[in-house]
Amino acid sequence: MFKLTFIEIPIGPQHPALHEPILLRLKVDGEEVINSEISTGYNHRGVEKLLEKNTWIKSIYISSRICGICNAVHMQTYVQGIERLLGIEPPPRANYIRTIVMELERIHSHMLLFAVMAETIGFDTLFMIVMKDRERVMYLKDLVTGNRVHADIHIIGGVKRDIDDSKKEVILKELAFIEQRVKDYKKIMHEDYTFQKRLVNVGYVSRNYALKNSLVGPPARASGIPYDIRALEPYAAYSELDFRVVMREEGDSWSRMMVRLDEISESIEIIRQALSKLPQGSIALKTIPRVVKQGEHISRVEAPRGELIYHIVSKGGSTPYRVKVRTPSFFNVLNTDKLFIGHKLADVPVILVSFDPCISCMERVLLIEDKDKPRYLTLKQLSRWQPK
Amino acid sequence: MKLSMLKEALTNIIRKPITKTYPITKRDIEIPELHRGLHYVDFSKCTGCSLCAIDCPSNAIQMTKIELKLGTNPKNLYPIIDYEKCVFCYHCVYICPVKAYITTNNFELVRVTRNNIAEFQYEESSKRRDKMTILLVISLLIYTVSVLLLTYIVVRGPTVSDKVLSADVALYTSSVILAITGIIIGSEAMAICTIILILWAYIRA
Amino acid sequence: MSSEYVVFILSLLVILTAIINLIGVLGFYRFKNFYLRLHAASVSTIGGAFYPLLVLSIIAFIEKEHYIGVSLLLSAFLILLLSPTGTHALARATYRKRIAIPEPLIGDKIKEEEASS
Repeated sequence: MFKLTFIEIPIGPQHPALHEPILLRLKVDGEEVINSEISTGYNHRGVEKLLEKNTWIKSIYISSRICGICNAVHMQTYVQGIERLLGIEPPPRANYIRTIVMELERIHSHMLLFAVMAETIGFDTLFMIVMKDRERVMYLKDLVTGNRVHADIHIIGGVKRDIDDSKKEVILKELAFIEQRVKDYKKIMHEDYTFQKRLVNVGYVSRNYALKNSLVGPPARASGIPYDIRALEPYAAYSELDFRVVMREEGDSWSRMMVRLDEISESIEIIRQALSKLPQGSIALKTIPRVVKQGEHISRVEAPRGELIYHIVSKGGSTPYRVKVRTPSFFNVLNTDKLFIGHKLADVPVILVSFDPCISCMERVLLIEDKDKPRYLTLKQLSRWQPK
Repeated sequence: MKLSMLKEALTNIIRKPITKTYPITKRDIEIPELHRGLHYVDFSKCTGCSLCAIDCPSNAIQMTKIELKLGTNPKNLYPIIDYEKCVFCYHCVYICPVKAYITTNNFELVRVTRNNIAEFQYEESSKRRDKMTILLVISLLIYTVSVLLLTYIVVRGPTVSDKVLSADVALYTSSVILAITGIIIGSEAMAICTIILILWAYIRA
Repeated sequence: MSSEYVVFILSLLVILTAIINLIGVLGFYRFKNFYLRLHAASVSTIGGAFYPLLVLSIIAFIEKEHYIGVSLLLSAFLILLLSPTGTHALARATYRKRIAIPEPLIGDKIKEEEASS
């Protein structure tokens, strides 16, 4: 008489639990998720086309505005690629200043995600308290670079601003305060009843799954893979600084958040070492090169969310020929749909937030071709194409 | 069950709310001096090389012909910035070969058409607050004297009911003390504690 | 301009109520009888706790702190309801149990009513 169907719930592009537009279609039996599909594409801005149309110097500033939270690492990757194509090296003081700005950004991005996770499980008070402490890091960024969010401090061949002694004292004082607060947060993560019940054993990612689906960043490091570009291919000043790659074995949401909190402590140590070892010298080259000769280069950098890759192709001239951006959230978020199956409906936002989705960084068009047959798609077919 | 946030909760009762209500409490916000704010050109130094207009990422600078006839600028071309397109990246400031740009840290660039509501409210509010604080502190002292007398009676009173009565009155008075300190500091949690204190006094009686 | 002086005058009122409270407590200390002390205590409560809370909530509304103002109004209302019931209950209990004797006594109406009925 009655046909048994399962209800399909869209956690749609506009939803109060999400911070950015993404469509999750979940097939639900009672409270348990049976099947899920992710589709994205609501935030595509055509950034790669913009990078092709502008000159080298203008496209630096465009690449900084791909993402708001990780803007310094995008600029670092692009400028690093251009410098290696040209064959020039920035002066050592510029490398140290770039490192300090990138580590400050890592601290504030991880604190933001911890606050968002506290809000998702319902602990609104902790959200407000963590955001209050994050304001101090934003003040430090304002002091060093000139703006609270967008640190437009990179230029081809160096940096634009310098750090003097009075700023160093302020930075060290605020960092001591934040270090003590991060220890309090770790104590809350270990002892609090809400965190234990909602984060432990939720969204288990095994080591094989992480290797097979190429997860990067803290989700991979929480499953037992010590993959960190700062240690594998050191760039900027990381080859002269001493830090530890944070890794855990458990693989659930709790260990992903603990990896991020441990990384904040490591970043504070890195900034202290860099400030004490700042070399003297100039901070930029005398003239800015405007024409890049022919060649191509791949540059990789460790963003707060994982590994960020830029592939730059130049055919001489004053504009790049093709720039391809591959952000870490691209594979991290698209691989979460198999993890939802078997969990209850209330675990879905917790798993999604623990992978740190940055959807506006992520939107690119990826075409996968069959082996030897080229396929031609019209614009109408391209707009209807769905991943299987 | 471990209460790991107890110390945090207790210090937050006597603290003001964290959000700063922006135009009214302007003096709580501190901006560093080198914040990237409004920038404009010193016309006596500009040579008209147009590097800033060529390099601006959002094409916000227009070189216009202004007949000033200063010796430094043979073509009489000066840069005018369109602030609605500018992203404040300060590339123009960095790349100018004669350092002709003047920088400020003024970020309040929205033109207000009502008559300067922010400054008006800020001045009024600060004058009132200072006067009010002195007088309320005087009343606070007088209240504490009376609470001390009442506690003396609680300890050495003639009968039991006297002690109960004076304890009640002491509790009501101390709730008023809490309310006054709450208003002086500006914290809302203290005002809510007064209600709790009064209810407790009643239940005790 | 005028709202500056309004807050000034209201704060002066709060000092006045503090003085009323002090006078009430002095009376509490010096009266010989429990029931007279009860009266001094109620003067002290209403003039020294209820009235200044009202004034303070008006000050809070002028200073645009609306949450504080509403909660102080609520506390003033609670004191208005709860303190007389407390004092009534105390007076009845001490009379029944004969804990406090009304010392300089003129006439006791309740005893006459009990004797006649």
